[in-house]
Amino acid sequence: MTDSLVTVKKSGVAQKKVGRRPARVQLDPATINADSKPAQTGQVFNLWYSKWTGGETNGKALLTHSKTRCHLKQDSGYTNADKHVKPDSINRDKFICLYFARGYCCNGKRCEYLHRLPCDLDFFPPTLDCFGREKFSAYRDDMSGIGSFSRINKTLYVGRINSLENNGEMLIAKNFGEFGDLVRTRVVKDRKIAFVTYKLESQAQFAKEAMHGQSLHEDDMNEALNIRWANEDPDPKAQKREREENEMHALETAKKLLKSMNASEQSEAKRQRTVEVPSDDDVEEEVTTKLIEDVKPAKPLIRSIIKNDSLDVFRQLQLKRTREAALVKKVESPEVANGNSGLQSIIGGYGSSSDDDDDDDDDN
Amino acid sequence: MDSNYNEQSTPAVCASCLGPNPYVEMLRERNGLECKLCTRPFTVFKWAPVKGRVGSGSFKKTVICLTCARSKNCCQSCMLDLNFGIDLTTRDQLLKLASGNGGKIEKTLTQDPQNQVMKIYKADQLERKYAEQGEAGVADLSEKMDRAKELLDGITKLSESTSSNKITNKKSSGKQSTVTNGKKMSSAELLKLCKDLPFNGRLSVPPTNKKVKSFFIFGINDRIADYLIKEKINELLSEPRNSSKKVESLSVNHKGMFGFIELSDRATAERLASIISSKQSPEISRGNASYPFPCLLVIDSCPMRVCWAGKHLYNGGDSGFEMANIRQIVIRQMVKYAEKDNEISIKRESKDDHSILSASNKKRKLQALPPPPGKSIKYKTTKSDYEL
Repeated sequence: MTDSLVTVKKSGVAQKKVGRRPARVQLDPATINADSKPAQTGQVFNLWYSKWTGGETNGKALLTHSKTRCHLKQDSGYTNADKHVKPDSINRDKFICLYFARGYCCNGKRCEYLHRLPCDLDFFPPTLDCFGREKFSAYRDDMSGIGSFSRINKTLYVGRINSLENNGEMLIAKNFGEFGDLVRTRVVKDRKIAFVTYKLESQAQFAKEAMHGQSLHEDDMNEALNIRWANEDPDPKAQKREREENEMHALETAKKLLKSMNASEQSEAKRQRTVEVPSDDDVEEEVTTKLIEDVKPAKPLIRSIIKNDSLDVFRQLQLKRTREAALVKKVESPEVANGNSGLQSIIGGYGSSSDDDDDDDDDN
Repeated sequence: MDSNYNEQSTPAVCASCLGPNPYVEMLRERNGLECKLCTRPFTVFKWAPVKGRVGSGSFKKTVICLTCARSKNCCQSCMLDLNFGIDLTTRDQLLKLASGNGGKIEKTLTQDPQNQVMKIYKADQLERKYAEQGEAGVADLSEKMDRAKELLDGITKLSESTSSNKITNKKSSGKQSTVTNGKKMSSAELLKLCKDLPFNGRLSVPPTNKKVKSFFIFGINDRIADYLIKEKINELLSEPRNSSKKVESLSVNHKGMFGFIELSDRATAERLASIISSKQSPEISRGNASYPFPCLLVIDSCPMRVCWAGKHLYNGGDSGFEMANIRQIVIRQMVKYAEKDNEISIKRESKDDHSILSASNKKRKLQALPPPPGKSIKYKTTKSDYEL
């Protein structure tokens, strides 16, 4: 199975496409009882959230070893979501399957989410994580959960490790390296904890779900790792390194932006030229369209919100309306009257401020 | 409040969030959610970027209020910068760079109140301010883009001019960085610490124990990411990128500047050893003599040494004190091997049967081109990195 995987991975971006193989059904749907409640951990069962509340631990279950685990090499493959993501192209609107990461997606290739590792061609908006869940402005007090959008955190805290004897570092690297490109690992043996840093934030998100409640040795049922987001490293060296990395990243994006801005200007100029000289044949037009396509990834930076421009249009419409109203008084032709009513409906709430004042006066 | 730029009527959303369709149907809910930044209720808009699509990511909605979005100049839905489409931390970093060291701009953007009451108060203040400013507060789009371009131009020029300075600065600052807290380790303790770290190992002779399939690497620079080493080894083994099949596991202790690589099986391990050692010394490996030291491996212009690991991998303590000691040993070893490489290359040149002319030719070639990894000349030049 893995051999076929490698042969398909010939293209430069190997992680992106996992061959032509459909995603594996990780859990037999027949074994799932849809009506079953989770094991009773509290006094009252909340139907809406399907969770227990009340009692000593307020319904919170103790962290136990997870029954399922995601085995990337076996399990990943194409799903229904891959229809919308072209191979080796930037993905902006499809998310990774959370159940897949936890190892219990029973939909297989019919799943509407991606069944693969997130890679550097996936762009998830900063307000959502790679599974499409909403982030929050601040972390929870215990640093668990989905995380925060105010800090780009690529580091995970790994707790409740049973033993780090006999090459704990290797075990950590092996287990966590499966779910993304590790940048660094730091193992603190005295306290039996570890920190793992990934290349991408989305990989950290994936690994956090995939390794939660798992164990370093797969058959060790007594171990259940507790994965949380890491706080900022207090080591001044690490902070300095992070600062430098951020600066480098910012500079790179600046260069990219400048490039795309220049390209868009060129394409704009070219388009204008084609408009001016209609005798030019299709070749030139092709070039322009290509240029525009090249710029596409950075599209949001060229045209942004419904802002001043559109508002200006509305204001012009308003002016036109007043002028036409004056005309109506003079001419009173039915066509203009029709046009006037149409405009009114278009303009709707977009009156100018002076108009507003008038309305207020009327109300008063 | 200005009716033209109204929270009730239009969300401030970027083009990529709105989707390709010019006619977007939106659901509006007044006071539908609390703003994630200022915790005040705001008008929520919800829409489908691509109509009729089902599955993940088919709906988008606004998550912060218009006032917060305006104060940060970001999209209400994805919170990317409205002009550039980049995330806010990167944008703020750029602004900081643009304004020099005494950055004024970014302070107002990044320092958000933590307390809920303060959040609400600040947002109310901002809202009042924007209402007073009205349309005048919103700068013209094309003007904005021109200014942004100027800024970006300045930043890239600045970075190009200062990048060389920065590197030299780093080198000089690195020299003061070892602190051992005034304590010193006895040699017995040091020996115990380095029991499983074969600094004097070699790569050319595979260990007799057939179970050993891992290597010891030392001299790993702090800025080399683990995955880069992994990729390099896959590349050496001519494996496709990102297939972690051959490298079973890789652990790097960045504080001690050393690490271990475990390969999937003994055969690949031996193959890798022969590849790396043949790069180190093509002349020697052709003859019977083997290179007696750990072999050089250059990743991203950072030199490191590779040799076979022992039966046990490092299992000692990992306190800062111990790591600092190991780090110093690593640095000393790196310098030692660099000097030995020099000696060997000098000896080889003098012993060589080739005419002086061809030897000098060779040398010139090496200096002209960026020397391939494994050639001692490259290492000579980067040696100064390792003096602390």
